[in-house]
Order: sequence, then C-alpha cells, then structure tokens
Amino acid sequence: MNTTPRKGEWFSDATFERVAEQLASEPATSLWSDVRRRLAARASARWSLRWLLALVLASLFVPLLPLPSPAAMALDKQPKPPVAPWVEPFNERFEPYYGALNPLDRALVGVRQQAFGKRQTGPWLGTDAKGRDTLARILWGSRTSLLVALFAALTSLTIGVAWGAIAGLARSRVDNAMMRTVDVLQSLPTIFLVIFLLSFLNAPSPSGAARSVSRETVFFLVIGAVSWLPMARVVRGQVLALRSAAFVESARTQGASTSWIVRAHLVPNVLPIVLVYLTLTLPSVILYEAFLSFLGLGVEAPNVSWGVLAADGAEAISPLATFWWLPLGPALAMGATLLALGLLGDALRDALDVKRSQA
Amino acid sequence: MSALLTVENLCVRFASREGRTVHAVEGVSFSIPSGGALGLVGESGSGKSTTARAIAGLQAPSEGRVLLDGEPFGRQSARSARARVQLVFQDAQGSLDPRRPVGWSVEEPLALQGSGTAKSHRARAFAALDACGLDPRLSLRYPHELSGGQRQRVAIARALVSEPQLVILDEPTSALDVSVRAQIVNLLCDLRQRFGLAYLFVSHDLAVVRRVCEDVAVMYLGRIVERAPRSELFASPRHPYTQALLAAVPEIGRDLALAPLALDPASPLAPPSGCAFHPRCPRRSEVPAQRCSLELPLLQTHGDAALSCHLAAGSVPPARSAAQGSGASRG
Amino acid sequence: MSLLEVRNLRVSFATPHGSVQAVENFGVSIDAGETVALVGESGSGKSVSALAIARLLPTPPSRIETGEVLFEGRDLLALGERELRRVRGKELGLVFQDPTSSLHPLMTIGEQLEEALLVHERMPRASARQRAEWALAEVGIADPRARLSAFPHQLSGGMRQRALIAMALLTRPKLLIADEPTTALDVTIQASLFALLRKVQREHGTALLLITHDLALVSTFARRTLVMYAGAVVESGLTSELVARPAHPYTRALLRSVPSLSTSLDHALPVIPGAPPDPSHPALGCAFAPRCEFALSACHQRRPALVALSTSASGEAGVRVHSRRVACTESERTLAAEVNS
Repeated sequence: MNTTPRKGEWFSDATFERVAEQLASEPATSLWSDVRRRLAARASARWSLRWLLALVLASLFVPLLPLPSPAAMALDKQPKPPVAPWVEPFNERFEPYYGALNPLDRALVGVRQQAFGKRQTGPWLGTDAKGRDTLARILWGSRTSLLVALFAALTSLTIGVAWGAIAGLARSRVDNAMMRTVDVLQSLPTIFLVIFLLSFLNAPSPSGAARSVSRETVFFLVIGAVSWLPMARVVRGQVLALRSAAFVESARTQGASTSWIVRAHLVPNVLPIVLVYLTLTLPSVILYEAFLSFLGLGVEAPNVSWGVLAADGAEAISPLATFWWLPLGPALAMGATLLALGLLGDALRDALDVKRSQA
Repeated sequence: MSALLTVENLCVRFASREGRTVHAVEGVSFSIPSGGALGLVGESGSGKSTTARAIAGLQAPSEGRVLLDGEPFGRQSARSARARVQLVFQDAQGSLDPRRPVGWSVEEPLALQGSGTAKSHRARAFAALDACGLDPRLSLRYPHELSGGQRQRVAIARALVSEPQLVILDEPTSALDVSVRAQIVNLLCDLRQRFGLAYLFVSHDLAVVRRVCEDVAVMYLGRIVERAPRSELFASPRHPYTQALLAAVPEIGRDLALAPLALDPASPLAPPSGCAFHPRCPRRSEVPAQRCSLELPLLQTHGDAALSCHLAAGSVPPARSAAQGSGASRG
Repeated sequence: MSLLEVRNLRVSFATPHGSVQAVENFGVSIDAGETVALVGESGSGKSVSALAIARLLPTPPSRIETGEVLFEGRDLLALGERELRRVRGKELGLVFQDPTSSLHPLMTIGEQLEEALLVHERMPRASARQRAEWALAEVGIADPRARLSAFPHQLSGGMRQRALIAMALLTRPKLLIADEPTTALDVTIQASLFALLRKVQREHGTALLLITHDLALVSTFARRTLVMYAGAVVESGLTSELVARPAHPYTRALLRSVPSLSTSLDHALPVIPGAPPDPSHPALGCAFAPRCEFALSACHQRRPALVALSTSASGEAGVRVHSRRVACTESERTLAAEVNS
C-alpha cells in the first residue's frame, strides 16, 4: 500500500501553480460577458435596448432639444394635423413657457435658448386643441412614465428583494408573518385606495388651508406600496429552493456563514431571475400610471404623461372630425416601450439560462 | 484500534404533515476505523441517507451522538473539524453551483477555511482535479458543460481538496451510466488507498458497495438489522432481509430470484410492531410464539458482525450463500 | 409473421445547431409472447427508438426520416392519428420509468384505469370498475378496492409503477413496451415486478420490449437482446449467447464493467475509457472506435454495418432462428471464427 501523503501536502505541486498562473492570465469568461454576448446576438434585444436607451436620453435631455415648449398655447380653434418635417422643418416662434421647472431643467432650458434662440421644430406630430405641440408633450410626458418605472424598479430591488430574501432565509414563523403582510398589501383594492386617499387628504380643512398633498405623491405612495410585492414573492420562492439545494447544503457542512451563502450562492443565482422579473413589473407599472392618469387620478396639469395625452386624445375624438394624431402618438410611444421591455425580458431570460447557452 | 467515527444510538425523527412522528432513524450505532469503509445499504425509506445527513451535520439528531476522533461532531463544530468530514451527493449536477465555474466550486471549501492565498487555493484545486482524473483546464467550465461522470469527479475533487479523514458518499454512482459508474467506483477505491481516507458509503447498489467497502451494514425501516465484514455478509448473509435483498440483485449468469419478498416495505410513518421486517419475512414461522410481531429483536454483536433477528437467538443456521460458490469471500 | 417488425428506422432531432442523428438504421422483430431487450447507456438511442415505435416522439423537434414499423402487418408510421390512438390504447401497452409523471395527479387510480376501458372497449362503468379492481389485484396490490379511490401521491413508488403496469395491461395488449420500468425502484420491488411481468406474459402471451441499461437484469429476463451504442444497434442475438460470447468489443467491455456480487475483488473493475460520443459531432467511422481497445485504423474510417455472423445460432425447435448480428470491422473477421468453434 502506498504511504499516505502528509497533511497539508496532498495537493501542493509546483506544476499546478504554473498551470494556475497560466489559466489566471487568460481572459476570464464570466457568466455576464456570456450574457452580454448572447443578448447582442439577438436582434430583438438590440433594438429593444436601443429604443429604451433613446427614450431615457430623450426624456433626460428634452429641455435641451429645439422643441416647442410643451405648455405654450396658441389658441387656435382646431388642433393642427401633423406637418411632415420636410415641409416645415423649423420655425422661429419659440416661447419659453414651461411652468414650474427644477433648477437643473431651468439651466438646460437656458442652454437651449442660447443655442437655438427662437428656433423650434414645426408641428411634426400636430398640435392639440390648445395649440400645444404633440411631439414635445409626448417627450415631456415620457418623463412621468420613466420616473414611475424607476421608482417601481427601486422599490422592487430594495424592499422587494430584501423582503423576499429575509423571508426565505428566516425561520418559518418570521417567514409566515412577512408573507402574510405581502398577502394583505396585495389584496388592497388600489384604485379605491387612490380615490380614497385623494379625497381624504385633499379635503379642504376647516381652517381653509390649501391642498396639502399632491396627486403625484399619493400615486407614488401607492405604487411604492404595491410594486415590490410580486418581487418579494418570487425572490422568496427562489431563496427557499436554493436554501435546500445540494451545493448550498454542501457549503453549510463546511461551516459557511449565512452571509457567505448569500454572497457566494444566492446573489448570483437569484439576480438573473430578479432582472427578468423586473422586465415584467415595469410594463405593468407604466400601464398602471397611464390608466390612473387617463381616469384623471394621476398626473395633473401642467405636468403631462402618456396617460393624460391619451385621455386628451380620446376627448378630442368627435363624430365630425377625428384628430387621430392626438391619441396615436402617445399610444405608439407607450406600445413601443412596453414591447421593448417585453422583448428584452424574453431575451434576458434566454441569455441567462445556463442550460440553453451552448450557442 | 481507535475509531475515527463513532455513532451512538443515533435517532432522527420528523414531524409529518399530519402531526405524526416519522421514525426515520432509530438507535443506529456503528463505528468506522481510520481508513476504513462502511457501506450502508437498504431500500428507499430505510433511513440510510438520513443517517448520512445527520452525521454530516445537515440534520439535527433527535437523540444520540456522533463522535469524530472521540470529540463530539455536529453543526456546532469548528470549521477545522468540519473540514475533516466531507460529503458527496448523488446528484453531482445539484451539488455544484450552476452559476460558478467548477474550479470555483472546488476551491470553495479552502476559501471557507480562510487559510492560504487565492493562488495556493487554485493550485490545490487543480491538483485535486488532476487526482480525480480531470484536466485542470476544465475548471473554467460551468457544470452544465460537463458530462455526468465529469461532474461527479468534480464533486469528489471538491470533497478531497480540504484533505478530509472521512468522506460520506450518498449514492455517488446511482445517477451514472454503466461504463462511467465503473470508472467512478475505481476512482473511489484508488483515492482511498492513496490518501488513507475512510468512507461511509450509502448506496442501494450492493455490488458497488461490495467493491468499495470492507464492512457493510444493512438498514431496514430506520434500524440496522445486520452488520458484517463483506466477506461474511455477501457469502453467508444471516438476516432474512439481507438474504432477500441479495437474492433480488440481478446477476449475469444467475437466475433472478423473482419476488423474494411478498409485500412492499411498510411506511416509516407506521412501522410494524416487533421486528419491523416481520410482515415481509419469509422465515418468521420458524420463530415460535409470534415473537417476531411482538418483540423487537436486539442488535447482538458477535465479533465483527452484528445481527438483529430472533432467528439468531435460537441458533438457526445461516441461509446458503446468495452468490453461490462465488469469490465473494476473497476480498 | 412477427408481431412487431421494425425496419431501417432513422430518427433525427432538429437542434439550434442543425439536425442531429439520434437513431440510425434500427431494426427489430418481436414474436408473440417473446421478450426482447434493448440495452444501452443514456444517449444510445434506446428510448428514442422505443418512443418512435409507439409514435410518441414529439414532432418537431424529432423527425422519423425513414423506416417501417409493422405491427401485425400494419405500418404504424403510416396510420392516421385516430387509428393510431386505437392501436396504442388497445394493442400496445406502454410503461415508463417515472410513474409519477405518467399518472394524472388529480385523478384517482380507479378513474385512470377505467378511462381506458370506457374509451376503448365501450364498457359500462360498473363492469369497468370491476375489471379495474381485478387488474390491480393481478399486479399484486393488496386491498385493490380501496386503492381504486386513492390518488397517485398516496401510493408508494413501487405501487404506482404496479398501477401503471396494470393500466398498460388492462386492455390485454399484444405488446408491452417498458422503458426502464424499474430503474427508480428498489431491487426487491424490481424482482417482484418482473415476477409479475413473467406471469402476465405466460398467461396472456404478451410480448415485451424491455428498454434498460441493466445488462444483468436483461441477462436473466430477456430471450433476445439488442445492444445499442451511439444511436445504432451494435450487436444482437439470443441473450444467453450474447452474454456468454459477446462479439462486439462494446458488449464485451460493458459486460465486464458491471460490478457483481461474485467477481473477484483482487483487480480493479475493468472500465471502458472515455465517455459516449457527442451525437452532434458524429464520427466518420465506428462510433465506438475511440474507446475500443481493438480499434484498427480502418475502424476510424469506415462505419461497419450490422451483419450476421457466418453461422446462425442454434434455434430451439419451433422457434424462429435469430442469427447473431454484429457491427464491427474486427469481429466480422476474427470473431466469426470464435463463434464457429
């Protein structure tokens, strides 16, 4: 029988240190670089990302663009139909009328005026009944949708993921309490809640003080309260399944702490699902905002959102003249954004699926 | 001879969903000497895997204790002690993190112990992979890119890299193809020789257990019913259950004893009274006064072997060898 | 005429990286009451062949490119969906490895057993229930009347598999195709299930096509055996002869690498080096050549056909003689002589 190698020397060998060094110098093929490559290989994913990126940039820098100001009215009798860009590319009728702006936007508007002066784009997408430029309003309105999406993403990623992970890791009693909380919140009739909160908070107080809470605040409160719930469920389910996975148990037998398990195993395995799930949450939140705004429960004038624009467009439809460009613009913008998120989620799911990644 | 692992009166009980108690493991005791190998065999539901998990610290025992080199061993043990016992699962796919390169998984036990540099961990992981017959360059691959046999080799390398004294193998070959299974069986035998490892080998495959282990314990409904050196157990099994189990193993060139047992095993939720095997036992009529259904036979030790059967008390001769005229005793 | 005659079956799968050949030039014939085993490792094409015979492969991604499956003279591959369902439900019984997924979780065992009788035999419900109870009793399930109203999850694994066999045998099929029927079960239960199968075969003359990776099991149970490797049959013949004098190097190596209760422990278990080939990169020559200890240079260039060894095996009186066949360049020459001697 062979003599047993001494403790601490079973596997120490200079040749392997050399191999280790060689391999360490090779470019590491991380899972994420693979995912990027597979996403880039898919046309639908590329176009979705481009659209979303363009939308984010446009909504961020919309004050810089040579657009008419979204609230500048020209009291014509009728909405003006779209004029093709090559017929009337620009005119010199710009009037800086924006309502209340935050300092950053004010600075951006200042830069715009320096750069373009009175020059502004023609009514490429037409104007509404008050003569406001539809294109400008769609772009300014996209800010609301993206802000809502950003807010929902943040609550999902922070509260939702943390809540689900803690519930999944905790003992059954804590888990139960946390998940029943989710159930209760999920069962709230949110539309009624919004109406109730608005009428309750905005009721004139006996002292005659003005409205204390804006509709936007109420709206964000409600979105914040409900948007993380599905994420918490999904994460909890994943964590529960992973907690009893053989590779986690195996690490536990080696004395791995909970924080090690979370960092080394749970995060890399849960994150892909979280990302995919996010692409499902965001469209529903964007739609929800549009729906509430359409009903007049969301964003208030002078602010705009796609839902407000769609509502205006719907109002403008009459049997005598259909001002088709009014609802069409915001509908297309929203449709394209929802589609892009959906396609991106689909592509992400495939790209993150290790078993399908032999490509 | 001092034992490396001693298990004393191990019991594991669960509460079932209906509030009843599942007696998964009841009063299991055995020991494994340093460098020894014990095979734990039995049907599904016999408690063999639960025993292995309890020893590995994945399942809290309800009663009894586990000693490693005379020291209590369990969940609360220090990492250095835990590194001396390693576990290999049946499902190699599940025992490797799907989102980590397999090299990372092999290094993980070293990283958890926290001594040495990342570079030395990598070199040792490479050497361990090499010892398990894998090209170290495979360490950059992900588990799904490897074949079943390669994955099981990686899982074994991961268990070996922290230089354990005892490796608990839970059905390590059951999910593998015939030709790959033979490779892994040989690898396990080689590694044991080379590193002086002790094995606790849990399997339902008696022929594989015979290859790897010198001692075999047979479990039935949570209890050990027979324990013996392999030369004795395979040549002259004494417990009627062991005899039935061996007779049911298909062998090339031997007629299969079809239906050696009339019934299915009882559920561990409601174990039969007396000897748990008695409803299926073909020889219970040999014991007078319905003793089998009334009284639990004790596990009585005779030298290296132990047996829990009322037949033995009445000096009933062992049944003829199941593997007739074989070389089973030569091992 | 054989009960089942499969000729020249060729099955491919469409994958994102092109079409992959899963089964090539597969043929088998089974007589009434006979047991034939299909042995191979995972990926050898044994299950695909069996599913193709029963036309249970999802198409796409799979495609049956060529071949005939003559069941009592009718080509199953040419039948319409309706006729096919009648054959499958009545004359062809199927049992798969995993009884859990083959049983409907929300229907009682009794309902599932009766369904076949109500649909295929147009039996009144009361007598269907009676027959279902008999069927459970026949497969050795204690207290069959009570079990009829049990749901699958309330039964043990062995019991579920027995219920599935009872279901497959309910309409007295002429052929039972069993794909790894006992792989997930304990050996004692496996033994009792095979005792049951043997009894059913004797009483009803049911033919059995047994698909398994377990050579030892095959050696005790099947009259004839086909060994598959990488999608093709590499050797076939009477089990007793095939086990005693394997002609193909793969069969030989496989037989040696099975651990047994009686072989000497003095030497390491003989192993087949390497792993089965990747079907998406088929070899030019013999698929086993890279792992074969006897491989010649010719083996890597030319794929050997399945040919009869020069003398056919001695057949029992009244039984059709099935010749030994082997697909090996080396065996064609040297091993034929060995069998002759």
